[in-house]
Order: sequence, then C-alpha cells, then structure tokens
Amino acid sequence: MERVEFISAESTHNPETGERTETMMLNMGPQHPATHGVLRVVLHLDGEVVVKAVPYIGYLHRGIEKLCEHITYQQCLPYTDRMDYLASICNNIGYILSVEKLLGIEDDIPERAKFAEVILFELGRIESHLVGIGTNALDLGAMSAFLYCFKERERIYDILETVCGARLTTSYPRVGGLPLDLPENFEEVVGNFLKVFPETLTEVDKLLTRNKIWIERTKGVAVINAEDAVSLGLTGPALRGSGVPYDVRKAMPYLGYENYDFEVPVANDGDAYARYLCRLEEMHQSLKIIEQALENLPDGPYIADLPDIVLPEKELTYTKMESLIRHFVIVYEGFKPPAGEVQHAVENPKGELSYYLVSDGTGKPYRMRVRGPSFVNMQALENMVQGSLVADVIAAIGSLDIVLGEIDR
Amino acid sequence: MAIKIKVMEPPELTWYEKMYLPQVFSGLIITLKHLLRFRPITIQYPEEVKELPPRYRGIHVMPGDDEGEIRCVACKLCEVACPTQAISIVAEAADDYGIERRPKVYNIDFMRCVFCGFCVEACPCDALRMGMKYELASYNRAGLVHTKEVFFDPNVKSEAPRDNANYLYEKGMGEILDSPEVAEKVKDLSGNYTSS
Repeated sequence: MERVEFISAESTHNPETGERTETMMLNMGPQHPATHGVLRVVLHLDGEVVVKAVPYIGYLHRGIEKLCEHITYQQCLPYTDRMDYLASICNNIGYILSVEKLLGIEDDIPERAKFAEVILFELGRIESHLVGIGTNALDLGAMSAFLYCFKERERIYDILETVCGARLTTSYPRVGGLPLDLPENFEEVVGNFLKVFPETLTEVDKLLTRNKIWIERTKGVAVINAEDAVSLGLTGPALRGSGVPYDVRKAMPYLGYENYDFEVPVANDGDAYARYLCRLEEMHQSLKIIEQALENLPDGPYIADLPDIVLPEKELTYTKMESLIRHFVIVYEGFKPPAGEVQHAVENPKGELSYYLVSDGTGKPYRMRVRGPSFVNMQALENMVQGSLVADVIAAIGSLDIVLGEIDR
Repeated sequence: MAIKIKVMEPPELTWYEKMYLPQVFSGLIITLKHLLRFRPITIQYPEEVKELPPRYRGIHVMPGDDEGEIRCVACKLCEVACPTQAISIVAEAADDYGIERRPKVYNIDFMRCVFCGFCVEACPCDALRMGMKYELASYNRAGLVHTKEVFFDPNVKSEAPRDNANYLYEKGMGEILDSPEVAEKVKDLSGNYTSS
C-alpha cells in the first residue's frame, strides 16, 4: 500500500519571485460525522481543490471471515448481521441462501419462507435507502428530509422487531426456512406500512428532487462514467446511476425474483444526483415487490422438512427421545454440507453482496469470503473527487452510501 | 428475459423553480404542515417505555418448574450453541428423582452476548428464554456477568414436560420399567434413584 507523506512533496517554487507553494494534507476522519463511520480519507489539497484522496480503512476490523472458520454454519449468522448493519436482514438472507446452495436444498425451501424473505429483503432495502438518502441530505444541510426518512425507518424497525425479535441485529431466517412462523399480524402491519410510506416518499421527493439547492450541491458532483464504474466493479445504485442496468435480481434471480414485476431504475449522468434518483425510484419498486409478495403470500409450512439440517420442533424435542438426540447432534456438530465450494450473490441495497463458501465436509466452513458492495464502491471515491472541491467529498461519500461495518468486516 | 428498465431523467426546472426562494418556501410549508398536525413520534424514554413485541430478545429469563426450581439440567447445549462463548456452566449432581444434573454455576457474560437467541433455540428442556429487559448498563465489568439468580424467575412457568420418561408414561405413549411410585420407594430407601 502506498505510504502517505504527511508533508507533501508536490511543491512548486518560483525562483524569480521566491514564492513557494505546496499542497496541504488534510486528514478527514476517522471521527468525522460525514464519513458515515470510521473512514479516514487523507486529502491532498491545492487550495480548496482536491488533488488526491486516499481512503484508509480498518478501524472497525473484527476479522469476521476468520471468525467464521471456527464456528458452525448456523453460528455464522449473527456475524453477518454486523457487516452492513443498516440492512442486516439482507445480509442474513444472502448468507442463508449461500448455505442452502452449498447444501443443494434450494428446491426444498417452502414457498412461504421464500415470500417472507422477499418481503423482509425489500423492507431492508427501503430501510437502507432511507438512511442513504437521509444522511446524504443531512450532510449537505437538508435536515428535515433526514428526519422524515428516519421516521419511516423506525416503522420498518418495528416490523422487523415483531418478526425477528430485534431491530438491528435480526439473525432471522435459518437454513431451510424460518425459525418461527410470521406473526399473526404480519400482513396487517406490512399493509399499514405500504399505505403510510408513499406519503413520506412524496414528501422527500418534494423536498429534494426539484430543490435548487439540492441540485446545485449534487448535480455534476462526484461524476463517474459508465466505463470507469464497470472497470472499478461498482454495483448497486452507484453503477445504475452511471447508466449500466445491472441488477442481480434480474441478472441472476434468486428467491423467485423472476416472477415479480418490477423495473430497474437507471440514470445516465453518473453524478450524485443520478444516484439519488435511482435510490428514490428503487424504493418505489421495492414497494411494488412487497405488495405483490404480500398478495401471494401462501400458507403452509415455513421450514423445510429436512431432518439432517433443520432442528426438530420444540414440542418433539421435549417429548421424543429420537428428536432429542437429533437436536443434540445438529446443535453440537452442525449440519455437514458436502465438500465443495459455492458462490452466491444477492442484490444488497448497496450493491452486489456475494458469499463464497468452501466446505471440507465438516460442520464448519473451511473458508468464508464476503464480497461486500461498500468495500468495492468505496474504490471509486478517489476517481470521483479528483479535481473537485473539499465540500464535494462529503457529497461523494454520502452518495456512495458506504457502511464501514461492511468495508472493514 | 428482457430486463425492464426505467430511465430516470433529471427534471427540467421551470424558471419559477430556478428562482431558489419558492423552493425554500415550499420546503417550509411541508415542515409547517408537520408542525400543525402535531403527532409526536418520539418517546420520552425513561418515563415512557416502548411496548415490546412478544418475540423480543432481551436479557435471558430462566423459567421455574412446578416446584419453583430452575429447570436447567446443565446439558451445556446452550454453551455449545453460543457463537460468542458467552455462557459458562459448571454442573453438579442433583439427587431429585428423574434429574441427575443441575447447574452449580450458570453465567452469561453480557460483554460477549449478542442476543442472537441461539441458546434458547438449543435448549432441550425449556430452561432458558429471551426476556423483555434490555437495560444492561453497569459501572464495572463484573456487573455485566450475570448469574443464574439474576435470570431465574419463578413467576415464569413452563409448559414443557420436566423429564421425558415420566411425560410419556403420563400420556400413555411410552413404557417405562418402573413407575414413579416404585421409583419413590427406591429413592426413600437409598436416598438415590437407582433403576430396579
């Protein structure tokens, strides 16, 4: 890695006048409210113009990938919560899908579990985009949009709390389906949310989309063209904002996304404003998906009938010796996927999140590698802010919508 | 499959919208509307407490059995299921009929606990549940390691059968070699339960 010179060597000296100018190094972060976590960006400034921006990461590193090599597949689930903590349910579902693929049981998952996972996934997407738009607006001085976003986000957390038992660290689905059936009032609370939420979306739309100040601060700022975006590996709204219609839900459908009717929002400008437009429209599309899934939510089993993988029902564990033995074996040793490797990608709110799992036939993953969208998207920062003003760095970081929990892992 | 794409075009602003001030005022109108329909969404926390859903995962609770005892039999399955090794159990022998072990020490370290609920899922005798308390602050580290006395709540009753063999016998679903009455006699004589 390139070493940062704290005193910049890029200086110019004019022998005639005796004037000597040099670029200034400015440390932005790690404790800077606008870096959305503990990101440290070393800025080299020529006056107010950014010459170079080098992000430094690792302040939140917990070694999740290594930790997961020493625990069973089931126990890795709470660790995935803590990567992209703004949409932990999406991380959970992504991980569960990868393990199901590794086990080769995708076809055994009951329909009810799949539909429930789609609803929760899209709720997670809305929740994450609300924070993305809200904090981006807050960083640029639009306080009220942020407040209305967070008001709605709280509603989603209430739903997640009734379903999963926790607001942020959901740890909800299990390999094979859902650990508990959806609560009785699930359809009602999600229905209520669907009724109330569009109003706030319109409000945010009214506050920002045609607002001259917002446009001045975001339009033409942090531009990245489609070619660079693809070659840097950007995904999610950051890529679609540059005009590339890549969405994992369409390209490699999972959870039956091919059966839903929704559009992929794409904007062509590649600036912060385009990314904002994409996020706003994606929330509308998510609402559409939730509506369809809620309408078709089937009754029936919520967990697959796979005795080797799924824990027996509690009732049976309490009363039947055979089930009790099975329960002990599954908890102690974990289920054992066949030796092999698997990679599965999901469209996280921030981009393509994929898990690469290697199994050696034991109950613990031999290797778990996470391809986090924030980590890859952050690479574009230097490209975006070169030659722009210091204030635009804030807009760029906000519009990339990075989460440091996932970057550092 | 053709991908449905929706191209988002940035809006063309009219001369009126470009004037900057009208947008400021229309923004203010939205905030003013919220001010007039005054519906607070915040909660004055220490005074008001939010109602928690039944599935909430808070500090653990150990339900009591019919005799007001801890149901745990120290099988250590929760210890194994815990992803963060937060639970530590030391078992000791118990003399009661049908129960051989009970926990001498049952500690959960809340500096490590992540409230995933896997311990509760793993418990084979309904001796551990997730409770509704979440206020965990402490002035020192020792105050965050909670013991079984903290978790035990005799008011929480469990419906699950206390031991497998007797449950099946009572339900008429299984056969056991010695009925409880016979077992009681054996216990009276020797002080320990031995199968006849």
